[in-house]
Amino acid sequence: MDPKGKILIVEDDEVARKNLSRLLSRDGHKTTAASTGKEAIALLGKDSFDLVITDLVLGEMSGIDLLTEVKRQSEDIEVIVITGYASVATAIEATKKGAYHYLQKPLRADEVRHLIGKAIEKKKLKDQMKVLEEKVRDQAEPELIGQSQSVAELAKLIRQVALSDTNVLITGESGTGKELVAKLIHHHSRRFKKTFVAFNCGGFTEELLANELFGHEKDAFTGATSTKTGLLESANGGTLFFDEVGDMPISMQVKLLRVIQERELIRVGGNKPIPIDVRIIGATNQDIKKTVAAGTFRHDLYYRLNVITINLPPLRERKEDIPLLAYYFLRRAMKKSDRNIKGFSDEALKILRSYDFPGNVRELENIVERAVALASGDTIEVRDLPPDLGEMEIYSYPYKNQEFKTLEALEREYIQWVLRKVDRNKTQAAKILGIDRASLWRKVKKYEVED
Amino acid sequence: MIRKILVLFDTIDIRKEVVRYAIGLAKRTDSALMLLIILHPNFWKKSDPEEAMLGQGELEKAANEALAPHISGIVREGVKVSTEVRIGEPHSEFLKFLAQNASFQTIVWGGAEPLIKAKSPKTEDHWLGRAKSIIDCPLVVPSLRS
Repeated sequence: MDPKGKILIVEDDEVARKNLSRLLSRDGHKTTAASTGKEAIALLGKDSFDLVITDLVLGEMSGIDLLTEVKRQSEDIEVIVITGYASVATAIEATKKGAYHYLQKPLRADEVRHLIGKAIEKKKLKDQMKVLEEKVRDQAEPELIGQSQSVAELAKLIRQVALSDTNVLITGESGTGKELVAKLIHHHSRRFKKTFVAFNCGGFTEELLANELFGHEKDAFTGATSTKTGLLESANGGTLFFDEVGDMPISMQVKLLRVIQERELIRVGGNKPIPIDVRIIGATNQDIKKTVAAGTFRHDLYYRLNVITINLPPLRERKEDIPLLAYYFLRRAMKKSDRNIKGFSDEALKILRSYDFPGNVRELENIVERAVALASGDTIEVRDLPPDLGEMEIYSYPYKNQEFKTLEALEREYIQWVLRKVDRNKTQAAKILGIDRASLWRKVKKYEVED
Repeated sequence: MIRKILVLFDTIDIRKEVVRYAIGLAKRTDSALMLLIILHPNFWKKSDPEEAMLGQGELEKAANEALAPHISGIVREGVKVSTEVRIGEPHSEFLKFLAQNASFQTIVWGGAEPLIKAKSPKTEDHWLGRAKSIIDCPLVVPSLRS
């Protein structure tokens, strides 16, 4: 859905001004009109706008001068210049001075709509980033970034789960943010003043794992010259997060189950039970039910951990969050370096949006960090993204743990994929799909497939 | 534990763009690569059983030779890589492989046939499509943009 915004139209030709106002108002935007640059500046002082559309030729004040003044007052307001005659060169100059883009007369309604939609979307994104930065700046609170419905529901679920103090199992593909969610649960719980300890269960032998988790008494084994406190004790009163809990050896699962049931532990080499109060959050990208069925994960431990399950959606199921995440990582990367990058080019953002990110949020984060390091200008361009993203089509098959999709959703996705494969050649696409062109056209309209 | 991406082929014709994409993905997700070729014993269509048996040794050799130039390229890019070649009925060999190996973060398909045939879009027509129900991770198919 195209975002709506507040637009200031600056045009000395009354007919053109009214036509443009009417077009944009009908599309749902809130429009204000001015006939001169001076009038526009006065209006800018009284109200906030997302976008200024100005003719280049205005009379006493040129569109370029107005652009400069708008940017001086607020860097974030987007400006689109309208040009005619032989002043395209001036319009290009305007884009170098900060204009978002230019429109050439005579204006075409579809072109106007498309450009304005993009400009307002960019402005809204900047606004959201500002709010986010203010929230994150002074707080140690981890932040869940996203504007999609699934993220909104996830945030609500996290707060509810946090207050309940029960053990939690977080599932989801690699790179979806399982540790972040665990931190959020801890942060919103009554345990937030106590320690949050994260531990990856993969790749440890049983002995090392036991030592790390339970600690040991002095002289428990060769080399144990002093008593060591384990992670369970360190997290006492707080939260212990087990990443890749499905990889924990069975023998360790037994010991962990005992801790959960008895609320006490015994250090390696010791015999004295030590009471502990710790909330356990487990995470896995495996199908844990499968591992229970295969006997590699204890069903009783599974039931103890799985009091509440939170499933994190993969990034490809919440693509509307990609721009916000990308800008968030951009700001974060800029803080670490001395680069000053304003944002992403439309083409770069389009490529990011169309990619399915099998590596999820982690992959996007790395892509943006690399792009910031490589960018030669003040905008991330396609050349700054990994070459394979621009050169290739990546089709991903639905992950089996996803919620069942409707036939309509599957049909829509497949039609979109085929159209991309044949470069939007509808004749070819219809042939591949086994339908006639008219039927394809109807389906494209019905599903609002990108065209 | 090191994250791993499985790059799966059922041919010795290894497409460069598949390996290139897998390298990029591995770097972006701090993962290692496992290149797996599964070849049907009839890959070279030897009808004589004795010849077919001899052929399996040659098949394995040819598969390893097909992988070799890509391995050095992957190592040069700083990505850890391991390889395996299996000769047998692909669906069955793949299930055995999955049972014997830790889970993968992503599977990248670089095989000979498209997973969906143009005229009859049923993934179950392909052996990998039939195995999809037990795959625990995203399955991606890279191809050069037309």
